[in-house]
Amino acid sequence: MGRVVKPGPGFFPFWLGLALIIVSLALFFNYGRKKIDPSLSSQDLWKGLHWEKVLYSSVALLLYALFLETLGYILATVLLILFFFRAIEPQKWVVVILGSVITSFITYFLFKVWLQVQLPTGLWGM
Amino acid sequence: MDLLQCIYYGFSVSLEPNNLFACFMGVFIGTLIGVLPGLGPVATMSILLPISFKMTATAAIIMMGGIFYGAMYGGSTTSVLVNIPGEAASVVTCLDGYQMARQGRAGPALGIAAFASFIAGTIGVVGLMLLAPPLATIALQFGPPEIFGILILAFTMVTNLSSGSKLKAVAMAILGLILGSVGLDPMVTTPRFAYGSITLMDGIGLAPLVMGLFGVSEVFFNIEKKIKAEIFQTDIKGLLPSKQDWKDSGKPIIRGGLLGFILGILPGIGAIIPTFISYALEKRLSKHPEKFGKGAIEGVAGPEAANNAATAGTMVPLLTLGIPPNVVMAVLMGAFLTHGIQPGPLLMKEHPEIFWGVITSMYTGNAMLLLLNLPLIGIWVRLLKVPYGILFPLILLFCLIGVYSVTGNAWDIVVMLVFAVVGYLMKKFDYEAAPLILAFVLGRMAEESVRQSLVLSRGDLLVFFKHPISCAAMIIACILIFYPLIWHLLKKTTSRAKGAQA
Repeated sequence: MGRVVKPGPGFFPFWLGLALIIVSLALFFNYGRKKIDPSLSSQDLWKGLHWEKVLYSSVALLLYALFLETLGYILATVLLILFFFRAIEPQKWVVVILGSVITSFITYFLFKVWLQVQLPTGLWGM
Repeated sequence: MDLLQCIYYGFSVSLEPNNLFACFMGVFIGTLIGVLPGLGPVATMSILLPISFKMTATAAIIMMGGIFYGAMYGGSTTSVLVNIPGEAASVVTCLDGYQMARQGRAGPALGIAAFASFIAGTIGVVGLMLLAPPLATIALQFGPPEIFGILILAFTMVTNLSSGSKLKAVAMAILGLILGSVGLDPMVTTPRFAYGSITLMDGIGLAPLVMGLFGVSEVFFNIEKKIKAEIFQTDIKGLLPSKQDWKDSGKPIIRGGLLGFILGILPGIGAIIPTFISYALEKRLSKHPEKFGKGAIEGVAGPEAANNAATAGTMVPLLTLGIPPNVVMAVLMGAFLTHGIQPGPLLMKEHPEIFWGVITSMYTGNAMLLLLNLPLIGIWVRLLKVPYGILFPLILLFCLIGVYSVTGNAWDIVVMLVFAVVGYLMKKFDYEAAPLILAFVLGRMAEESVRQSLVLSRGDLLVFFKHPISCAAMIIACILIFYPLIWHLLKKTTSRAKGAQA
C-alpha cells in the first residue's frame, strides 16, 4: 500500500474501498429512514413485466460465449439468433430460419471477409 | 500558423476521399442509430472501435465524431414522428415536435430541426476553433496537481448533475474508479483485483463495460416490456419552414446554439441538459408561452440547436485538456488511445492533421447530414416500422462481434454479460451508468496524478492547494459538494428566525 510519501499500488484501491463502504452505508440507512411509498414498492419493478425473457437471453448469451470458439462463428450465431427470433419475441418459422441463417452469413462476410475483423472459426473451419 | 491557415489545412485533410468517406459513414450510422430506439451513440461507437483499428487515426476519429452528432439529427426524427426520443438528447423535442406533427406540420418540424442543428453545429464548430488553441496553450503548463484538481472538479460536477440521488451517483463514480484499477498497476505493474485470471490481468476493457452497461442492458430493459411504436400516419410535405417559421425560430436557434456550446464544455453536462435549459429559456422569453407544448416551433428549434452545438462543446476539454467531459467523449478518447495517440494539449502540435481534420470534418459532416435528413427522410421513417423482435437480436449480435473482436477473447463476452446484468439492475433501481463510465476512464489518470503529485511534494497532501489552478478547482468542488448542505442549514436558520419573529 505504501505511505503518503510514496504511495504504492494498494493506496488508491484502499481509500476507494473505504469510501464505497461509507457511501453504501449512508445509502442503506437512507432507505431505512425513508417512509416507503406503497406505489413504489419493489414488487412493481418486476410485476407485469416479462423479466424471464431477460433471464433466458442472459443464459443464451453466456452459452454463446462459452461455446463460440468450439462451434465457430457461423454455427453459434445461427443457433443464437434462432433462439432469439423464436423464443423471446416469436416470429414465423420461415422468418426464424431464413433470418438467422442470412444474418449469420451476411455478418460473417461483412466483418470477417470485408472488414477483416477476427472471428473464431471453430472446429469445422467456419 | 494563423487560424485561417489552420482551417484551410484542416479542410485539406477532411476533404481527402478517405476521410470524407469516413465522415459520411459516421453521420450515416449516427442518423441510423439515432432513429432506431435502444441503441445510442455510446454503444455504437464502442461496437465500431475494433473496426476503427484498420483505419487511419484521423479517419477513425472523424467517423466516431460523426456518429455522435449524426445521432442528434436522427433522434429528432423519431421524437417528431413517433413521440419516442431516438436518443436522450431529443426528449424535449417530443414536447412540441410531436404536437406539430399531429397538427399536420411534421414537415416544418423536421425541417427546422435539421436547419437548427446545422446552424448550431456551425456555431459550435466556430467556437471550438476559436477556443481550443488558447486553452491548449494554457493546459500545456499543467502538472499532476492541476490535472488532479480538474479531475476532482469533473467528478463532483458529474455526480452533482446526475438526475437521481446524488449519493447513488457518488457510489457509482467510486465503483467506476475501482473497476478502472483492475489489472496491472500503472506505475509498478503489480496485478490488482485480478484473482489469477488472465482476462482480468489486462484490466476491464472499455468496450465490454460500455456495451454491457449501455447496449445489452438497454435491450434487456426493452424486451421485458412490449414496445409498441405507433407511427403517426401523415404525409410529410413542405419540409422547408415558411418565412413566419424562420422569424419565430431564428433567435431561439442562435440562443440555443450559444447555450449548448458553452454548457457542453463543462464536465458532466453533455448534450441533454442544454436542451432542457434552452426549452425553459425560450418558454420564458416567448410572448406566447401558452403555445409551448402545443406545437410551438421555437420549442423544437431551440433545443435541437442546443444539443448539436453541445456536441462541439464537449470536444473542447477532450482535445485541449485530454479530459473527456462525458461518456461519449470517454469512448472517443478510447478511440484515440487505441491508435496510440494521447488527446490533450499536445495534440494540436503533434497531430495537427487530426486536430484540424476532425474539427473541419464536423462542418462537412453537418452539411452531409442536412442532405441525408431532408430529402431522404422517407427512408428513415420506413426504418421505424421494423419490429423490435427483429431488431434486438441484431443489436445484441453487433455487441457480441464488437466485444469479441477487440481482443479475440471469448471471456470478454462474459465480462460484457456481467455488466449487462448489472446495468439492467442499475436501471431498475435508478443508478446511473454515466458517472461509473466516466470515473472508469478517468480513474487511471486520477490515480497517476495523485501518486505523482504526492511523490513530487514528498507526501504533502496540501500540494493540491498550493498550485493556484488546482486550488481553485478544489475550492469550487468543495462548494459544489457542500452547497446543498449549507443551503439547507441557511434555510433552517432563516425559517427559525422568522418563526421567532412571529
